[in-house]
Amino acid sequence: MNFDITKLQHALSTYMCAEVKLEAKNGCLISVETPFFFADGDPYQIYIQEMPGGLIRLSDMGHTMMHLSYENDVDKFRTGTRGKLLEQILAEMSVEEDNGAFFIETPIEEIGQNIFRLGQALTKVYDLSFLNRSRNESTFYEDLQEELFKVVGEDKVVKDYFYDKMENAQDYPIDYRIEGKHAPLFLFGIPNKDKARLTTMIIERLLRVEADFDSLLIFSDLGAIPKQDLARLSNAGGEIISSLDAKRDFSRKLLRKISLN
Amino acid sequence: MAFEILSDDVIAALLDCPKELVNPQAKKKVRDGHEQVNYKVVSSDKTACVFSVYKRQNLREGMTDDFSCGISWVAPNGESLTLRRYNGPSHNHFNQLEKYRLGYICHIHEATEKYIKANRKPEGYASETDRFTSLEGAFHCLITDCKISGISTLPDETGQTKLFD
Repeated sequence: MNFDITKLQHALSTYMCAEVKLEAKNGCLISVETPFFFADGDPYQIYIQEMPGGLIRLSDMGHTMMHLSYENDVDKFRTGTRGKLLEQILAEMSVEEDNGAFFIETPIEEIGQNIFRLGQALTKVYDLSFLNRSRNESTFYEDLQEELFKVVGEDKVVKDYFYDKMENAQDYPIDYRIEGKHAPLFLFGIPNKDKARLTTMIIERLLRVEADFDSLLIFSDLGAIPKQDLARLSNAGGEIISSLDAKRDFSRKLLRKISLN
Repeated sequence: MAFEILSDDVIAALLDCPKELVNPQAKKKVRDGHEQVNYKVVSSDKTACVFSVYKRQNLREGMTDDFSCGISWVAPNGESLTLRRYNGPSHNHFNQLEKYRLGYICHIHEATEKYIKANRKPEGYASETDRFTSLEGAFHCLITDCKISGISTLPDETGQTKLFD
């Protein structure tokens, strides 16, 4: 190693010092400029407030949740999986919350490490926005395909298949077609209630033209589909897998229906 | 992402089309210490594009300058893209591709093809403005610039020559 550690240390310290600046905002807050940014180039807003007992409070003054609310329904960050993850992040990072404001109370001597800790926590909170519906759906389809190709070779699967023995077949896409033991297997991924309804229509349509097929319905989360939609789809379709976590069931039900030769 | 192919011309067309408010009953709510209003807007031309318009004001003491309003295009697949956002001067915005900070100043974010192609947040570019100093003034600029009807707003009297000056 040819690095001059002293020189590196100096370069790093100079950079860090230049990137962290304090500015009096008003009588009660000091703004801390840091090298932490949201994806849109707006910096994290971190402020210093004086507290009793010689402590200082580092707080985002609620800006992070407000920033998230531009593109997200922040109520969703309080319930379900996102809510649990948020609680977990705050516990892991020892960050407290006061009505949407995230803060750490610290003695002055530990301000440096705690600014970075708060910055890291805010990054994790912001990353919860990646759990939005459309992203979840696209990763569901990617995961489904990966599992499918693991069990059945890629060469045996036709993606986005159209059953051309019916009118306007292009309006009724089938996610995957696999050669079956007795009849072709049509496999549908169901990430939400809209797809559940569409799949019901497609299967009903196939039944109306007396197509010979088996079907397998893989849900992202069966419990998230409204009862009526689920009842209609179950009546029309064949075997069901409640989520991709049920890997063994997926493989068993799939292999029972298809011909690998 | 549905937005990889969006060009500046398409973004300009989305901003430029006349739009109408769909939910005039939209009410202010207080969430996590900020006040928010969410409007739904639809283009009044044959494209019937759907947009969401939002206003945010941080209500904490000393945070009056932390406000924001913007317009997002809601794509048919449900993903949304912020086309414009009008921010208060509470923070020092950084234009990541151009590598400069604006300073603590009111600024307007805009979606650009340049940022989309660079795999950055589409509205990552912002420019400074003296057209508003308050949320109400910013909201007036947003509503006027994006041709939205059905919402009444008032401008700030800033950066303009007054009649008796």
